[in-house]
Amino acid sequence: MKVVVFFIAGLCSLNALDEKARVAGIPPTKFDKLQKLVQPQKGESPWREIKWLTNVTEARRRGMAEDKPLLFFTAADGSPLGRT
Amino acid sequence: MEPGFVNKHFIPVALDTYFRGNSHELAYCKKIRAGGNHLVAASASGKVLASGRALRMHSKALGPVLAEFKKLPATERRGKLDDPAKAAPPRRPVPQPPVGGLVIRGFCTYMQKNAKGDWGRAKRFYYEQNPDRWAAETQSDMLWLTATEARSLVPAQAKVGARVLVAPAIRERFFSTIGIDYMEGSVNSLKPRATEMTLTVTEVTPKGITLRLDGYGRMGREFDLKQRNQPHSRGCELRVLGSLHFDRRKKAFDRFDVVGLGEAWGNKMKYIRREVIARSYPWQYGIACELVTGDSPIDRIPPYNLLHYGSAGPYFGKK
Repeated sequence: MKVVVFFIAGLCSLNALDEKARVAGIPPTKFDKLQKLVQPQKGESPWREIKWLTNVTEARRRGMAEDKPLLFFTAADGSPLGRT
Repeated sequence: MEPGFVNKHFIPVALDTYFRGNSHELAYCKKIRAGGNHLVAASASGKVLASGRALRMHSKALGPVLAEFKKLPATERRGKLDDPAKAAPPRRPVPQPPVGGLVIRGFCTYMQKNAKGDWGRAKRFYYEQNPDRWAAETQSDMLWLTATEARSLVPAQAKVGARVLVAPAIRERFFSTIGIDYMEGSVNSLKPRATEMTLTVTEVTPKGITLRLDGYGRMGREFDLKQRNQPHSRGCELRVLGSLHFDRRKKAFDRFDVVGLGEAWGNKMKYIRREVIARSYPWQYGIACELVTGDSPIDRIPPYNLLHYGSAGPYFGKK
């Protein structure tokens, strides 16, 4: 029933831009699959499993307290944890 | 890459070079040369242990770094922090997510249809002709909405079929920043040419309201095959479908799932030779979004076009 309501809602949602649209509609039945497909796949971005800090002072404090070296990952424009 | 090894033996720090912090933090980064597109291992005192191309995030490269660190006297391993109260504030403070607003993480990747017409991921490479090419990885970026903007998404009537026309500021920010193909890197936001986004109530319960999101956006330049090898010719179209849930008791969204399929074309800025070769023209891409509910550093990084290349205008619109 939820899928039916989801689908019917979509029939009357967009009007003006559908004309000459280059991209066809997305079937609601494919929604979950597409959501998983676009997100990073298993093993694709292992750096996401690292517990990054983004504050230098906090990192130095933790390095001192835990007696560990710091590993810096820098990007020239944008956080290396996002889009660069 | 061995994330477990890094987590166990190192304090990992990720920095945008333009936002390295206050004067003490900046001085420390300059001392260890933490800047640019780079990896550096250093002690808290500022002793550089390793840097450059040979440094990688695995035990083979980091093991010797760790051994060298352990040989250092305690004073060099740890050092001493200057009083942060005496530091000059950052020249560029890192923006924080809007209080009471929404933080949404977007993903972007290349897509293609198979022979049956089903969508799948398309594997593409940076500098494909080179022996040391590498696969284009799914990119991610953030979308921030203010508290007022978040409230505007809640329908006035909690009734199936009720609709909300999403405010232009929200839908244009969405489409121009996380609705474009940003796989190639260092790409400007694209000015929206036309956008639509609506929310329709599909279910109402005492606990919450479920909404379906439909949208379509045209951004940047219009498609023109003759412009294929011209600079400043980027453009795209994207269709989105989403499912949102508003918790009526908490008065907050607890789901913001969106998928988008699009076509993109053209070249960024003056770069007419793409870093990632398009096998079809235009090429296909997909986006996905999810609500961020955590508070870890990776959840609080600012949207790229809030800080860089925000050519579609001020991120939160004109004041």
